[in-house]
Amino acid sequence: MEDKKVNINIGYEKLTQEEINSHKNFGKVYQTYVSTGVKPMKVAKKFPYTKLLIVATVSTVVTVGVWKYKSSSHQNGKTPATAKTSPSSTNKAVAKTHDSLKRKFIHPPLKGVDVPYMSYNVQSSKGGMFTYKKSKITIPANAFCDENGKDVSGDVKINYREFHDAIDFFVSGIPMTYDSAGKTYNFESAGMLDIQGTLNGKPVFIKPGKDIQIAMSSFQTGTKYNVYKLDTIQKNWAYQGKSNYKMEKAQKTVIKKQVNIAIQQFSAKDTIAVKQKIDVVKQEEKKLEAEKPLPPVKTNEQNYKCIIDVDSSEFPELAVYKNVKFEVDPSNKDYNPKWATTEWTDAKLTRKGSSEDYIFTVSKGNIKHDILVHPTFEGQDYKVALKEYNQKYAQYQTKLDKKIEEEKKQKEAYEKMMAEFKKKEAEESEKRLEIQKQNELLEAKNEKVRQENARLAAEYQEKNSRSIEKQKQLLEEEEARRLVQNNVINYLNIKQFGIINCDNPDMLPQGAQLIPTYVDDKKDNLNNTTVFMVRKDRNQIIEFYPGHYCNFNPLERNFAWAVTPDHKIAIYSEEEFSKINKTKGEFTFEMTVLNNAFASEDDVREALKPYMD
Amino acid sequence: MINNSKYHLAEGEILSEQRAIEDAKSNPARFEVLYNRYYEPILQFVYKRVEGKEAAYDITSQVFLNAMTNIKGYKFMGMPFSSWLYRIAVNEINQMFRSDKVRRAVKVDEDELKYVMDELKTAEETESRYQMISEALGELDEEELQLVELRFFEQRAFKEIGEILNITENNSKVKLYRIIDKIKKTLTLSKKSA
Repeated sequence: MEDKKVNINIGYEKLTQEEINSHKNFGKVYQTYVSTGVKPMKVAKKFPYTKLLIVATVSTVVTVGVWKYKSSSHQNGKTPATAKTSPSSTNKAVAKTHDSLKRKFIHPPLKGVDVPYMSYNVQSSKGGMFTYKKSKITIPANAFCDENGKDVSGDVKINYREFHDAIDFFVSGIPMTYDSAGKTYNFESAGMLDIQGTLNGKPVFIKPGKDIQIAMSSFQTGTKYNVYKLDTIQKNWAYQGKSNYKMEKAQKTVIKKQVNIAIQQFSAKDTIAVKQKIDVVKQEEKKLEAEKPLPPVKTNEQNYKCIIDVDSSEFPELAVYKNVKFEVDPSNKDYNPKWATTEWTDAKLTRKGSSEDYIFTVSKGNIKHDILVHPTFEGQDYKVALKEYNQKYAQYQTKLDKKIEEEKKQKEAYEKMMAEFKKKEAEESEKRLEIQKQNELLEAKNEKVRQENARLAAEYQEKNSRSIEKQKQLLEEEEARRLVQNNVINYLNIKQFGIINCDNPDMLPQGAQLIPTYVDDKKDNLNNTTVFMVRKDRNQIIEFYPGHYCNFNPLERNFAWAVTPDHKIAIYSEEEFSKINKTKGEFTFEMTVLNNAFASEDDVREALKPYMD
Repeated sequence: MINNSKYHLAEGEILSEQRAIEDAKSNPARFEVLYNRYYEPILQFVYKRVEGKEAAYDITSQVFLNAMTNIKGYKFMGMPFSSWLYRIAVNEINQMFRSDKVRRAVKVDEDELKYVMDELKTAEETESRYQMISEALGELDEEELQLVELRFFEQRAFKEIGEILNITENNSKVKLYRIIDKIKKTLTLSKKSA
């Protein structure tokens, strides 16, 4: 009897009403329920305390080590509100036991299979740029610090990967649901990325104001996407913003950049050369202008004259003439004829611009006189000068005409180039507007299709008649036609390392809600596994946890799979979905097990691809 | 003899409870109505089966947490909601026992022991008699003990016992009669050895 654990206690100590009331706290239970996002499972699943303590310890470590993605449970369409209270701050006892019910927050469903990281080394002091497939990642200089906010130096290892379709989302195990204002949404994704940084194996952080810029390539059209960052502590996605991620805007930016580059290239390679040529011609014209011969003027006998020995290189306009006499302009009222016989220590002749006026400056000691003079010719010299002038002027005019012609030609070449460029720019602009227009039309059409789809789904559910089948077929064809893949760039400024998602939160599909039983082709039960359903007309994967309804729209193209206990994939094809003839009640999904082995994401892609198209 | 379980609900109460369940299914925050209604019975149920008040509080919280997470799967098929909760509680308690982190206890009032006395057709209520019965109960395995607790200490109907332990009503009857025989034999042996 001593070994018996049962202790029979007759007349035991009763709980007082005060004790009962003090522990009766629905708020704490509810907070724990919400904050840990527990999922339905078989009633009273057993969790030994020894395991509970281990799980709780791991969870604590993860909370401190923010950088790693571990711990916690999946979010799901069942939690009614976002909760910010951690289990430890609510009901310790509940949290401790409750941890055992949680799945890991990021939970790759196939062991050893995940979307691989690409690693890049970036010198912290210089920053750098690298590409991942079609995406471009730009890191500014001195962008990293350690956990204490101190700058780090050396080669920072950047691990980077992207997720773009249902298979990426599936193998990564990253939750694709978003809880907001008491509702749970499923993400329709326009691309997701995961970026991490380490230095010598230790995590580094992005310094404030040193955002990493990522131009992420995507295939999704539309303007409905928001940006979210995965908060691994709160176990939910945190809304980051909406702008700058619209496909049209991104496309416009790309084209604008291309145009700017074109202008730069155009300017550097062609126009500068042409402009230089024009400048040379203009300089030559200016030089030629200086050589323009002055028309000879007859000497006025009434005025004083002086003979000045001029340097022909300084005064090319006078170089052609001989026996030039400089006549003192009558305006020199103070002119003294004695100056002509005075011995001056310095004399200088200066032309006033391109006129026929010259200033003759003479000086001696403190005495200095500026005399306005003009070149003139006497008698026969004038005739010779006039003849010379006519010849030289003709030569000058010919040279000038040539230069003017050359300048005109260069200007025409430049204008032609500019005209061509403007034409190209106009064409690009037109193309851009056309793309924008097409995208707007496409989005409007998509929205219309969705609305029509929802309306038909409701109608289908209500009538459940065969006549809807035809509409369904037509609708599917229309949706297939409107499914286009555009190469879109999403521009993201990353302030913190982590997982960033461009998504549109979407409600569960409507039309059919079945109580599912999942079995494989040997009728073995698959009810304890999560089922992944792809809405093929959207970039969306929905997880149905054990015990949950299976919600789908019978008018959409759906395809589902589950991971069997022996790590194989069991599928339920689009064709099988289309044959489901009920929208309510219980339904058994007989899934076909694929015999493929999965060692990498490529293996999964190869196995599921025939069913995804 | 126990004819009507004190846990029986009138038809109006069942309908009202159904509405509360449906509300809780659509919005877990509305589970509060059910929590407030059943917190004390579940806590008492747990407390009478485990050692230590803290363990009872912890397990009770876990029972309601499990209930909240699984309520969408609950379907009314004649079994009262309370039976569903007690079944969760039984499973949770069993799990704790198996982990050896919580000790099993059987907490019973002298008044409640009278029902066992009635069934065993003995009029003796002496201290030694209580001692012998408690020792006899200690000889029972877990399932047997649960049946005794549910039937004699809590005066539940066989139908409800079947629902909580996930066995048929008849099976619960048959098993209980066998347990009574077993206790009787133990008591006889104890009497002789005394």
